[in-house]
Amino acid sequence: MLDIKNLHASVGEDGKPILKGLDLSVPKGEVHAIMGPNGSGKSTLSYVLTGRDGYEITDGSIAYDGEDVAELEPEERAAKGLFLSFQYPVEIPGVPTLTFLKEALNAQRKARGEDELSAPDFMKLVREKAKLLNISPNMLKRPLNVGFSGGEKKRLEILQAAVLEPRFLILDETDSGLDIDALKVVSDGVNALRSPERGMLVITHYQRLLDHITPDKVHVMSAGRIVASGGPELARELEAEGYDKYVRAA
Amino acid sequence: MAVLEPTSTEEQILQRFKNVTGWRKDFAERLKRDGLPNRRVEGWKWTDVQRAAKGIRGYGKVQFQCSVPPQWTEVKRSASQDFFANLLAYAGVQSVPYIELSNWVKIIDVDFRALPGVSHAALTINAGAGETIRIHEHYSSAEQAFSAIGVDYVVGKGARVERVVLIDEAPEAVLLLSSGVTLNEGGEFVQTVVSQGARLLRHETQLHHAGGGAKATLNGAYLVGNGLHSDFTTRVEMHGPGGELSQTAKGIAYGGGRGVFQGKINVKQAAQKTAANMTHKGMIVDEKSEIDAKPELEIYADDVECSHGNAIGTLDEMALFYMQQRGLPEPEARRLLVESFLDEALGEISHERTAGTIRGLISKRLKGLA
Repeated sequence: MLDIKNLHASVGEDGKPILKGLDLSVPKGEVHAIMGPNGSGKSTLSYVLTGRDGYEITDGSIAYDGEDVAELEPEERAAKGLFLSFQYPVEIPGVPTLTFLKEALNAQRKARGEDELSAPDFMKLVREKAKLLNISPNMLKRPLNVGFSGGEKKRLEILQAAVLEPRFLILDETDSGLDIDALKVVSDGVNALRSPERGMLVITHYQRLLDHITPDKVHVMSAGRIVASGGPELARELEAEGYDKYVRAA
Repeated sequence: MAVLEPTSTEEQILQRFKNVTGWRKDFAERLKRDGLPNRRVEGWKWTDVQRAAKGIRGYGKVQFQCSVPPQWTEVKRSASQDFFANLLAYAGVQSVPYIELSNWVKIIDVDFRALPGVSHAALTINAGAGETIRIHEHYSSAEQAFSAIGVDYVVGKGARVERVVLIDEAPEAVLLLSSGVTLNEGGEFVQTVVSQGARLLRHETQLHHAGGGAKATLNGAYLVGNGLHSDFTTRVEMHGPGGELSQTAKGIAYGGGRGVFQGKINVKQAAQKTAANMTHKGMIVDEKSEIDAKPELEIYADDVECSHGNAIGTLDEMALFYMQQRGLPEPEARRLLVESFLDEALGEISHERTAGTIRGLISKRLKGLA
């Protein structure tokens, strides 16, 4: 479903290389985790995949469902089903969460040539998904992410995924800023989204998230490349031994 | 005998002041001596009226409509409202419409339209003790109009005035709109000004605040593009103890537009326990545009809580990316971000339909920006 080959990417005006020949393949229906130390390029990978401005691909390719998406705008990739759950969801004062969600959903549907969802159908859909994630109707009326706690922001990211129904999810450090209870709610939300038709890439520092969201594969990233891959046991090994040997090897 | 036509806007204004006496004469002499405000005058350094007025001549007039019939009275000036724009407006009229608010009037709609040429207009509104009133003012000058319009308010003890000012000028108009406000103890004055600029537009408020539990809110939003100019200037004098003031001004400049914000709060020695805060936030969308801001606090009392803040930035690129990542096309995301940026300054408009109209107008203008 997602095939990344020899990906090189640089960031910013000075063109600092961050990704240096990354290979990764995530088949449909699988959940892969990427773990790695700070500065290894994990968040850069998520931005490159979703098309953030200033993140330049200098070599290699990204194929999503067999299509090269490297030249597409972020919103075009979103309409094709690529979703990034942000490590730090952005606060947008003045835009009620519900309004934003409805505009986003209908923009995606329009881009795919589908009819816009009517207001009652949209409300029904949101209410149903919000309940599962313990999100109150009152929270949805507030401006997007403004004044939300870390846990609320992350729950809202997953609610957006549940409503937008992407085909591929990238979760960038979804566990950061969560207490144990919130971690469980968010993980349950993510697990509810697992499906044979959907792929996921879970980026994290720690194994604790992977206790809740069991990955099919774990990859270790260091210095802009995948330096090791294995099953869920690799995450436990990293938790016990640290990244040191991989950092040195890279 | 040949009649000499005025060759400048100043001469055109001065023609009206021939044979005047008293304070009008003093003002005419001042105008003759100093000319129209220009960039060499500190309070006008970003808003050069002399330059903008060039080429506007001939007698103009201001069409005035009001949803309640006003009374007319002779112009009286108080020494406390002696600022240039307000004097220019009041000096040019002989009598002034006057609205005395009473129990049965709760909402007033006022409309000013300046026609081409040089014109003056004024209105005085007096909210008696304990009255509550909402006033919507609309301004729409025609091209090549130069007008000075003054709208003065007296807010009585315990009275509440909510004022919404919508300025929707033609691109080649010049408007100096001024308000002298007197806020008495226990009163409340809530003002929201929305402007889209003009060749030159200045909205100037001078508020005398009695303290004593009185509250003033001076909010404003400007969206200025395509080489237009919008200036919000406020000066608040806190005279008595226990007064409150809150000010939120937000603005966006794009396409070579220029926004100006000047806010000054002067807390007199007697105005202990004053709580005053002023915030201005500006967003410059492109390199051709400019925002100039000067927030000032002058405090002579020692037991007060006062703050002022000013921030000028550009569009939040991370927020833009976040919205695009959720599927919103870039122009749409841009529009939503800009709209939401201005929205904070519109929060005190209690009448939903009025707020809706203003948001619709801003949204329409932003479609051009996107």
